[in-house]
Amino acid sequence: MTLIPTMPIGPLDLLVKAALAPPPVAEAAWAEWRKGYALDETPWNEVRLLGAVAQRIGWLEPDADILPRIRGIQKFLYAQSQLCLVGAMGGLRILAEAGIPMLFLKGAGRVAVDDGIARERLVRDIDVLVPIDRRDEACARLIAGGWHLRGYWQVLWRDFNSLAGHHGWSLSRGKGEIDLHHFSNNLNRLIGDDDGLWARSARVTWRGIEVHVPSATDNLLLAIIHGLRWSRDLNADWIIDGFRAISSGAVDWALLLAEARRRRIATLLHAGLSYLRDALDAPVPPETIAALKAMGTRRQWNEAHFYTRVSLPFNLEQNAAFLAMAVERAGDVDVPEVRHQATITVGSRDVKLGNWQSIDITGMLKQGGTRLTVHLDAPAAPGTRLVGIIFILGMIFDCREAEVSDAEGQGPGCTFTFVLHPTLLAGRGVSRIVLRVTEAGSAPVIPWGNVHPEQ
Amino acid sequence: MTQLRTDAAFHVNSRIVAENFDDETVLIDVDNGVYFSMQGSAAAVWRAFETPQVPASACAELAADLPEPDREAVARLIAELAERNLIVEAEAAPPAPAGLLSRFAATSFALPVLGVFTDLADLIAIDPVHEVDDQAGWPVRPAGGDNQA
Repeated sequence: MTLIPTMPIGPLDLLVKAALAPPPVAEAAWAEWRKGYALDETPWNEVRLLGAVAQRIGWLEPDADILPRIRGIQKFLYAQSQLCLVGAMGGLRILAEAGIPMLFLKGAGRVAVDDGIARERLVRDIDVLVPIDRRDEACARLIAGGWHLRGYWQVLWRDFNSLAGHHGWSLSRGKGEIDLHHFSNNLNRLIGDDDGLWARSARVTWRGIEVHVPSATDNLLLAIIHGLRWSRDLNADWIIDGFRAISSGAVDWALLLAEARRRRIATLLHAGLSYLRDALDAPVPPETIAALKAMGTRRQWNEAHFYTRVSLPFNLEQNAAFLAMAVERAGDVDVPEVRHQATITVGSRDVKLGNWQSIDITGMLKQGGTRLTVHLDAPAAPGTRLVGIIFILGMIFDCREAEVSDAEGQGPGCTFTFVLHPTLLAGRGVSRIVLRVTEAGSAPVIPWGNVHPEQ
Repeated sequence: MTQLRTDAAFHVNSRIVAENFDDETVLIDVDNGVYFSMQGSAAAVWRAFETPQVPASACAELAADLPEPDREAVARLIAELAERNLIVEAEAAPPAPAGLLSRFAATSFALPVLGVFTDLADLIAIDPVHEVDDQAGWPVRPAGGDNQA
C-alpha cells in the first residue's frame, strides 16, 4: 500500500532529484528533464523547485542557455519570500508586543534560523503556533491590528469556536499571510500534543522578535505531516524541508519513533521517509523505516489514505477513517468516564443515550436546527463540573462545561448546549455525532480553551 | 546627494537582509520592501560597514591602492549607501580601529554597481520565466522594459 499520488512523479520527480539527490542521480534527472521539458512550458509548481536546482546548476549544466533565467528564478523566490515576511512583520510584532509566545513552523521555522533557505524554498505564508490558551487573544489582537480571517470557513470556525475542529486560522493583511496555529497539525489536536514540540524548540531572535523554532526531529515530522496533506498540487517544499532536516544530522530517530507512536502517525511518516530514502538517498536508518512500518495499523492507513486525498465535500469513507483515528487518539489518555443517562433533544424528539454513543442528527439538520441540547440525568453529585465533548467528522468538534445541580428539585442533572451550524455540516455526509462526558479537569486530552461554562 | 557627517561612524542597517547569488548580492529593506542588487565590489564595500566605520576613513582605507577614478566610485557608492539607508549612523558605537579593512587590489577591482528597485511588490509581478531578459534573468525585463529607480 503506497501513498503514490502525493509523491512527485514525472517532471517534478526529476526536478526534486536534480535539486537534492546525490550527484550521479541528480545529473541524470536533470538531463532527462532538459530533454523532455521546456522551461517556457513549465508549470509553477515545478518552477518553484528551480530555486533549489539553481544552487547546483553550476555543475549540473554550467553552460545552460536557460542559466540566467534559472538564477533569476532563485532570486525571484527569495524576493517573494521576503515580501511575504515583510508583510507578516506587523502581525508578528503585534503578537510579540502582547507577550504571546510564537513557535514558527515549516518554512518560517527554517527562515528564522537561516534566511538563505528562501533561496531554495518559497515561503508563502508564516505558520505560527501559539499556546492554545492564548490563541483567542492572538486572533483578536491581529484582527484589531487590521488583519482579517481569510474566507468563510475561517470566520465560521471563529464564530462557533470549534477549536478542536481545526488546527488554526488563516489571516491576511495586504501581502502578509499568517497561519495562526493552535495545534501544530491537523491530526493531533488534543491538549498536550504539542508540549514536546514546545519543550524541544530553540529560542532565536529573528528580525528583533523572539520566536521558537522546532528541533530537527520536529521539523522532519511536521514537514511530512503537512506535506502529505496539503501538497495536493504537488509542490515539493515538504521534501526540501524534510531532506534538509535529515541532512543536518540532528534528527533524533528514537524520538521520531516515539512521536510516531504517541501521535499515531507512523503510516504517514513511513510513506514520507520511504520517499526521501528511495528517491533521494536520504540517510534514514533502515531500522526506523522498519519500525514505522511495523507500527502502522490498517486504521492509520485508512486515515492516511484519505488524509492525502482530502477534498470537499468529505465523503463517508473519509469521515469513518478520521473518526476511527480521532476516537483512538482521544482514548489514549485515561479519562474517567461519568456513568449517566442522557436525554438529548434532537429536533422535537428526546433520545436516551449513554457515553460514547452516537446521535443521529439527520432530522435536526433537515429541520434547520442549530442547537443541540444535551441533558444528563443524575450524572454526578451536585457541584461536580462536567465536560461534554462531541465528535463530528471524526474530530472533536466542540466541548462545553456545565455544573451538576438540582435546581428544579427533580434530582441532579446538567445541561450542555452545543451549537451546530448546518452550513458546516452540509454536504459532508454528516448524520451522527458522538458524545462523550467526563469530569472537568480530569482530562488533559480536552482542548480546554474550547470549553465554555454554561450561562 | 546627501552630505555625510564626516566624523560619524556608520554601520549596516539592521533592517536590511542580504543574500549572495553567485556574482550578485541582493539586499532587501524589510521595512519598505525596496530591493537592491549589488554587483562588482559594491557588496564588499557595504559589508565593510558590518563594523562601524567613518565613511571617509573607510573609503580611504578600502581604496588606498586604487586609481583616482575608482576611489571616487567607492566614495560615491558609500554616499549612496547612506542615502538609501543601507548604512546608518552608529549611535554611540565607536568606529572600528583603522587598518582592519582589506584593501581592494587595483588589478582585480571591479567597479561597484548598485541597482535599486523601489517596489518589491512590483518586481514580484514580473513572471520570472517569460517576462525577463534571457541573458540577465529576473528581475530584468527584456530590452525596453525598465523598473529601476
